[in-house]
Amino acid sequence: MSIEPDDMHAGRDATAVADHHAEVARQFAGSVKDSMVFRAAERHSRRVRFLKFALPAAALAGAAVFSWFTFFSTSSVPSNISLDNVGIENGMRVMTNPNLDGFTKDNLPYKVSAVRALQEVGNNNVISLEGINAKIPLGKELRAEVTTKSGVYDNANQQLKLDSAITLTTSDGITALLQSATIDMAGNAMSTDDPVSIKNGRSSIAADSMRITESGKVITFEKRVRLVIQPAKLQEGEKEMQSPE
Amino acid sequence: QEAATATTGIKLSGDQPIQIDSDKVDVRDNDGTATFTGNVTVVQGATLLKAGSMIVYYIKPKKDAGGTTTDAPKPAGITGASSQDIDHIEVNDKVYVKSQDQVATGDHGTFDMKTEVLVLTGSKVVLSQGDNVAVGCKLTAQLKTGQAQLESCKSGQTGRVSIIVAPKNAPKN
Repeated sequence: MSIEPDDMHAGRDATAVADHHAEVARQFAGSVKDSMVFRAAERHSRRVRFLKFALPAAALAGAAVFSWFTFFSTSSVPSNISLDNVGIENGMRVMTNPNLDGFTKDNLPYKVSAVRALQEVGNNNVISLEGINAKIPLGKELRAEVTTKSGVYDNANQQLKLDSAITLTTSDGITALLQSATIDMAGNAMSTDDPVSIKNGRSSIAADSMRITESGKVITFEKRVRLVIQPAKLQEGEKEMQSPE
Repeated sequence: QEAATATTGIKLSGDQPIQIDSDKVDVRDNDGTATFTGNVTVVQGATLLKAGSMIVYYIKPKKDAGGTTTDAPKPAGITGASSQDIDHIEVNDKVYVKSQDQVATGDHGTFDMKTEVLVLTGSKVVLSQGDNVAVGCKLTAQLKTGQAQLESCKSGQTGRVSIIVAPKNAPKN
């Protein structure tokens, strides 16, 4: 599935998948019998699945705001773009506080903003971004927020390279920390060869690399994968973010 | 005929954290599986499991009427009857299970979440407790109660389970 200029198309697929998983997540959070050996192991891997569209979705939304500099004329201009001002500083077109508010196919609002976006005058294929923040929907009820210090969007091969620490939190309690991420817009895939750790309710997974492929259907962790699932009992004391087990 | 059941043994303690280590894990959403490969170790309390690979099959939920996106009709095999997440787990290539003083080894194992029954099979399934060693072809362990039953290899040997009991402690059963 290639990402044509209309980024919404891919966002929509991701959201559809997200819906499914959000739905799945809620179901299994319901009546769960007392924890058994591997019960939670699965719930963890199930929860991890959210990540696979959260990151690409965030990236897609993130790219949307900046690819509009280059695709301005083409279709599906996000509904509302605002930025403080565009200036030229030593040969770079500097846009401060670019903001993009848009709606996904399922009419769910997303918002992507950055402190600054810099684009070499004359080479509008590469946009470097600073202080990125994206708020994106994950299915109907869930939302995710992605923040990272910097990244470069390479429009030629539709790749967003985030080269600094990335934090991602979802409204149902998943937090993911990555050191970097390369997001392939065209292939709707994402990978990182730096350590990643994902916490989610009672379970957390850490690994030295992660790949999300087949537009989110497969998520692979490699190199020193460690999954830890806390027993339900311990958690009952704490405020459970998801529905109480 | 089956061997006598061992009393205390491979048991699960629900109140202990589970730690799973492996070289790699592939979570394949459509197939509803998570495949851990490369010296997989699973530790919970005093129970340890090691295997070359472990596949967790989880039940793919059926969409309820009001569901937002309906899944494609799933093969009837995995029925999302209850809200159980995992259907069953498979462990392969050199399975080793240790719990307190009991050790069991085999080539292939499955663990059914609902019944909490671990079945270890292989050409030579060995169940040992201290110095007592029992060999058979199929070990069925009830992880709730810790009871384990070892079945003989019907074909090949004369269908008997061989048990070696160290003189000083007779098997408790």
